[in-house]
Amino acid sequence: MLVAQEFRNRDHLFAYLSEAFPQGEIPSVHCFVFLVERGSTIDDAMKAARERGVRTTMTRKGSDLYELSIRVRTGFQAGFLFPMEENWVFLSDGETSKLNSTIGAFLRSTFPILVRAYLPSGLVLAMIDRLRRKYDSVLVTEGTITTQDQTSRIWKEGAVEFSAHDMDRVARRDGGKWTSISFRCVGGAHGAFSCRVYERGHLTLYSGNFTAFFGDVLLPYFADALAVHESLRGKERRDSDQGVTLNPLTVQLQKDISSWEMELLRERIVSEYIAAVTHPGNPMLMIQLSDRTDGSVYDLYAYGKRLEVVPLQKASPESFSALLALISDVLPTGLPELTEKP
Amino acid sequence: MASAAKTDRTSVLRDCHIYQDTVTFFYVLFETLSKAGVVVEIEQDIPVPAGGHRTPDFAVIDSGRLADVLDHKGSLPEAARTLIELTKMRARYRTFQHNGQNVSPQVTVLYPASKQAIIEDVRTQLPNDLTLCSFDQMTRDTEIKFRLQGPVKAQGLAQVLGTNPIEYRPSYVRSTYKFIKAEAPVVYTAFSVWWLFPSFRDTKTAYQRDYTVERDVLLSRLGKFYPPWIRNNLQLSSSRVNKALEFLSTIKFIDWAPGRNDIIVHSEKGSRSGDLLEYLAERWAKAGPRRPPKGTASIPEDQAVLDDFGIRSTGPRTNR
Repeated sequence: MLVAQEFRNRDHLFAYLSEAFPQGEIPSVHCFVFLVERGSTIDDAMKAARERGVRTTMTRKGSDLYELSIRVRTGFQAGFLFPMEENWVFLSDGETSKLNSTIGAFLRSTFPILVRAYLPSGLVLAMIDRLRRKYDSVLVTEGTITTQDQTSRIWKEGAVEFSAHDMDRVARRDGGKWTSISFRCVGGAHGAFSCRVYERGHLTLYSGNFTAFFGDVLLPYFADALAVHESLRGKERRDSDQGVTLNPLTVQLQKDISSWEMELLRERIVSEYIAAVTHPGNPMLMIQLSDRTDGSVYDLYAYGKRLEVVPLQKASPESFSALLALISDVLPTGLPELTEKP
Repeated sequence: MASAAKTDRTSVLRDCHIYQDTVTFFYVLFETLSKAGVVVEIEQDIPVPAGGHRTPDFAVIDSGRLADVLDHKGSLPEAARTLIELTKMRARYRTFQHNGQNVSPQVTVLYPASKQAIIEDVRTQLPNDLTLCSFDQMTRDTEIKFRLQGPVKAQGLAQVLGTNPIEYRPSYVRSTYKFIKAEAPVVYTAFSVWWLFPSFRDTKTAYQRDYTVERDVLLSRLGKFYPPWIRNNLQLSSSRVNKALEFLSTIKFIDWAPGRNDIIVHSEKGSRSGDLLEYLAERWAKAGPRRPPKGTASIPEDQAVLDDFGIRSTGPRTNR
C-alpha cells in the first residue's frame, strides 16, 4: 500500500512513483481531482464531512503533502492529498470500485465546498487529441460509452490510433458519450505510459512513466476542468436599472428531445432537487429547481433540439457543473455551449 | 372524496400554469408593442369621470391620447358567465379621463383561441363595439398567434396584432419575470417562495435542518421578479406573500405567524415529495375552502393601506 511508505513532500512521492511504477512495485494509481469552493478551504470540507458522519483524518506529511484517510460506514480508503492551484488531488493505489464508492460518499458529504472536477466528454476527447502532438502514437485500448439506457464497456481487439473524430462518431452512432477512455502514449520525450481518463475528475495510471502522465495528462485535464468550472462562475441573473441580464447555458442536440427524454429529465431532477414542472410541455418542458444543499436556483427549459439552463439569483459553479453532468447523463449526445471554452 | 380532491388539485395546477402563461403573454406583448413604437401602459390606474379609477390590463396611447384598452383573459368561464363578464367589462371601460379629457377608447378582449367555441355561443349577444381578439400560445411555446376580429384605433397596435406569429425565446421571457398580475395563485406563490428559500442558505451550514429567512429580505428578492414597467401596481402584494407563508406554515414546511419577520424554514420538508408544485396543489386541495386566519379582517376600500411594496391593498389585514 502506498500509504505504508513515508514521504517528506510531494516531490518525494512523485520521485517514488516514477521509480516504482516502471518496476511494477505498485498497482494502478488513481488520481481524483477535487475543486474547492471559492472562499472555502480543505479544512472546511473536512469539517463538513465529519458533521455529516464521514470520518476523515488528514495528516500533514510535508509542506505540500497530506495523508488522507476516509471512513464511510465499513468502508475505508487512504491515500495522499496534494494541492494544485488552491484545489486538490487525491492519489491512492486502492481498489477501483471501493475507492469510487468511498470517494463518492465523501464528496456527497463535502458538497459544495469540495466537488469532483468535471470535464465533459467532448473536451476529454479534445484533451487526448492534443497528446498526439507530443507522442508518436496515442493508442486507444478501451472505453466506456454511456447511453440513456446503459453503460457499455468497449474493448478494442487491438489498440487503435486515437482519432477524436472517429471516437465522436462511434459514440454518436450509439446515441451516447464516452465517459471514460483508456489509452497508451508511446514515443514521448519522457517515455510511455498507459492510463484511463474519466469525465468525472478521475484519472488512473496503469503503467509507465508517472512524470509523463502527470505533466501531459493530469495537468492538462486539471487545467481544462478548471476552465470549465470557471466558465460556469458568475452566470447568475443580474438586476439593474437597465433591466434584467440572464446568462443561459444552452445544450444543443442533434435531434428533437423526445417526450420520453423529457420524462427522464423530469424524474432525475425532481428526485435530486427542490423542483417542480411549471410548464408541462406543449411541447416545451420547464422545470424550476433549486439545489437544496447550496441554494443555487435555476430554470430549465427543454424544447426542440435545445435545452437551456438559466441560473437565477444564486448559482455556484459547483452546483452548476453537477447539474450539467446530470443533464449530460440523461442527454448524452448533447453538447453544452460553454461560453469560455478551454 | 378522493376523486373530488384530485379534480381540485388538477384545477389548482391549471390555475398555476395559466398564471405563468399570462405572465409570458403580458411580457411578450408589452415588449413587442414597445419595440414597434407603441406606447403602452400595463395595469395602470386611469381615472374615470365618475370618480375613482379603472385598471385595464393594457392601455395603448396614440398621439398622446388613450386610444385602446385591452383586457386579457387567461381562460373563459362557461358561456353565460362569459357573456356577463365581457358585457360588464365593456361597460367598465366605456369612458376614462385622460390628460384632462373624457375619452372613449376602443375596448378589445384578448382570449385564448382554445375558448373560441364559448365566444361563438355568445358572439351575437356581446356589445357591438367590443373588439374580439383570440390568441394561441399553446400550439408552440415559442410564439403567440393573434386573430384580430374587429377594429382597433392605434395603428401600431393593429400592426402588432396582425403580425403572426410573434416569436419569443421562452427562457428569456419566463426567467425574467415570474409575476405580473395581482391574482397569482397562492400555491404558485408558495412554490416560488419555497423554491427561493435555499438561496438564502450559507453553504457552511447547508446541512442544518432548519434555517431562518427574514420576510423583508424574501419580499425584496421576490420583488426582483416583477417588471419595472408596472409602476403604481407592483402586484405581488405583501398580503399575497403572507397567504403563501400561512399555507406553508399550515403544512409545517415553515414556522411563521403573521406579524413575525423571522421565518424558520424546515429544509427537510418536501424533500421526498416529488414535484413540489403538484405536492403543494394536492395539499391545498385537501385543505378545503380557506378562511381568513384568526385576527384578520377584510379592509374596506376607502381604508386601504399601503403594504411593503407601496401597494394599496384591500385584502385581509394582518398584524404585520
